[in-house]
Amino acid sequence: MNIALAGNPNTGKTSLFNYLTNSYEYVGNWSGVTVEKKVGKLKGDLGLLVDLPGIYSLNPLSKDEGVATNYLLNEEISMILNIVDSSQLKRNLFLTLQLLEYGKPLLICLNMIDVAKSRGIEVDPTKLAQKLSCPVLPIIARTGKGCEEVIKELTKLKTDQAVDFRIDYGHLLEEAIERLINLLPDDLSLPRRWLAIQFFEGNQLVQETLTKHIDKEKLDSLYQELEEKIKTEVKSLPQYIHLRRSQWLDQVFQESVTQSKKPEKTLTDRIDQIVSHRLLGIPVFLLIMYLTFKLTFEWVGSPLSDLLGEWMEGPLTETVLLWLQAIGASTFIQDLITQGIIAGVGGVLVFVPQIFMLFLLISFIEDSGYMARVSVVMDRLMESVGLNGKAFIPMIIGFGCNVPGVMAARTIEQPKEHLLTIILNPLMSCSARLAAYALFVSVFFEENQAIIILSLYVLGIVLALILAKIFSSTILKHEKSVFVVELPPYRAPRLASLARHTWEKGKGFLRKAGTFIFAGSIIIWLLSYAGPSGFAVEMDESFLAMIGGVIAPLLIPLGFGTWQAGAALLTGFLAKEVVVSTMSIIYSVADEDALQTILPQFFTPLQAYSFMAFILLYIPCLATIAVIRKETASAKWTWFSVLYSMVVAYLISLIIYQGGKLLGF
Amino acid sequence: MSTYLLADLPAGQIGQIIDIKQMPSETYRRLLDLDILEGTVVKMIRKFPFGGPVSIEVNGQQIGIRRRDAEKIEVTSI
Ligand SMILES: Nc1nc2c(ncn2[C@@H]2O[C@H](COP(=O)(O)OP(=O)(O)O)[C@@H](O)[C@H]2O)c(=O)[nH]1
Repeated sequence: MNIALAGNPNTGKTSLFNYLTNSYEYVGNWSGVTVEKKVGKLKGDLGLLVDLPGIYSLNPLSKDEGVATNYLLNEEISMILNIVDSSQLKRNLFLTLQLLEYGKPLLICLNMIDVAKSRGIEVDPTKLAQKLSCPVLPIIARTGKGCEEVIKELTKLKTDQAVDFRIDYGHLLEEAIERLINLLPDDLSLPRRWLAIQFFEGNQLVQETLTKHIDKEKLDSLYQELEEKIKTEVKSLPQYIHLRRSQWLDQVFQESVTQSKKPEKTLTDRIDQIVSHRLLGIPVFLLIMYLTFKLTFEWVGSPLSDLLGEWMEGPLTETVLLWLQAIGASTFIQDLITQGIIAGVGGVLVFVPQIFMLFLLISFIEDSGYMARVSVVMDRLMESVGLNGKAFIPMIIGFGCNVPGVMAARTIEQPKEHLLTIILNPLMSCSARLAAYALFVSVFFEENQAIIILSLYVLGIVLALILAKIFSSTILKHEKSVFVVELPPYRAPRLASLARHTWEKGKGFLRKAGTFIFAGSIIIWLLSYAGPSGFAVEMDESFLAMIGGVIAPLLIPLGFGTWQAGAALLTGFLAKEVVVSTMSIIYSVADEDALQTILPQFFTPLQAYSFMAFILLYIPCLATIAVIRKETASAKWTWFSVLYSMVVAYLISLIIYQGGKLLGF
Repeated sequence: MSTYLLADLPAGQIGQIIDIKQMPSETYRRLLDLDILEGTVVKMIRKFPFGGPVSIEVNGQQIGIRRRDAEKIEVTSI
């Protein structure tokens, strides 16, 4: 048995889903779109619960929103679980009406009754159930209150019972519905009246389905005829239908909802007076970002990372070595495991505390309701470069790691803006690159470390804005986008859901370390260990040196035309943090301290800066490329994001190095 | 009773929508989804500087829309 869970965005759908299901049956994407698809096993062996994306209406605005409608059109479902926010009841019920018209048994979960109560709204579930002719259960999905009853009620609900729900849409529309229904073949398994109403609402997906059975011209003329007739009253058919539903709902509300005087100023209003202040908004946002970075990179994340790093370099490596010697492993194996795998994978794993810390804070910002405000506060700036405020959030997340940054672009409806937001994300300097900067600034710019690093972050942001402007007025020219953002009330996030969201974002990073960074480390190490003349060769004679030597000449104009730099950049493609570990392998030094003393022999400060800028820009790392490929579903745009980065990196480093030389640095 | 463009409604004031002029159909549809149409009562919460977006309150729900779209919505102050 398949039960579909449907509701508006931000109504507590995820919370309810988690309460009603034991485990996932499937987690992935809906085909053709970038919306997450979750199917869970319902408690009490009731069957499967399919989480439909949050929508306001079955009439979709974008491909992503069409998922729910497509599901209703093409899949077999037994019943619908509709969650509504009782503090926003009327708006939520517009969707409910469309779902009721679909004719499958439906159960309404009246969520957020606590919020409604605090706003002086009292809903009578029994009366509402009578009016809507379906069961209505009050719940608080945040605490799980009432969720047991939902399971019980689902067991009782008869799946085969057809629901006869209808609103009178007035004789003009009813007549047209009747005419359309008569044109449909008898053996159609979809609910006819629902199809007809959706069609007159302008639902493209339904229209496509109907053209399989009825002439397109016939359909168009039906639609236009009706629209002509009602034009005297209202502007358009969709608006007409909305108004009829609205009137119908008002009647229902008279009997089932009471609104007492609502409180003058809610907590949300008070918080917004500061954080969404028209002038203070941006400074407050910058402050919050500053605190996020402090927490991640200084106060909590980095100290933990350091501890982890020390443990891996010291006790872990020693224990493994002892154990390997005990079982009599050859020196080759010993070197491979300690110098290749532990150094390589470990070098990435040390970033786990930082990454998880950042994701925890970002989840907090999202769950609390602040994220939506950020997009409003930043919209003006982003609009001027052809993006919208929602594109700012992925950029911020990109500072932590580009992979979730690219994924966060999903919320952007306009397809070209979505694409643009994705391909520019690698310009955001992620935490992996920080490792490389940290090394170089400590050697070459000891006095001005913070400024130099900051300048690289700014370079990334400025380039992203400039390129956004260029791309959006050339190859990605597009219509002005929809920017209508709901600003939910602030809510204190719950620990359990924070943990869950953090884990969902961060687990990909762990997977990356376990898979191709693992494989990559082995390959790099082997390339540096072997050469044309055999194994255990001098580094200069290794395959790695040969490969690095091939690209070195290209890098001469940029100031770092050595095979070592070439090899480090090549391996950095796997993950940017690998640049540092490759350099320490290449310069055959034991640790970073030793690397610091040897680097000045190979770089001048100007060359070092040019090199850092190049590391920032030259290519998205492998994991980012993979996720760009997945999210854009286009090989062409994936290639584009790789190629434009190379071109930009080359130009910028060229300007820095040649310009710097002219200026006498 | 005077009519304004929503974008010109001073912060803190309440108005009722009397007309929504030509705007991108997607934006119009999204507004309809949020139950914002002729007859709806809206309150201006705040306007962001340099022609930035505006925050409005509708049926107890806050919504951010662009200034350009707010200039297409005509309201009477009440
Ligand atoms: N006060 C209150 N908060 C709730 C309730 N249900 C969900 N929430 C909160 O609303 C926010 C959004 O919930 P979520 O399940 O992510 O909603 P979704 O976006 O529809 O999937 C979270 O912070 C929840 O903790 C409820 O019944 N009462």
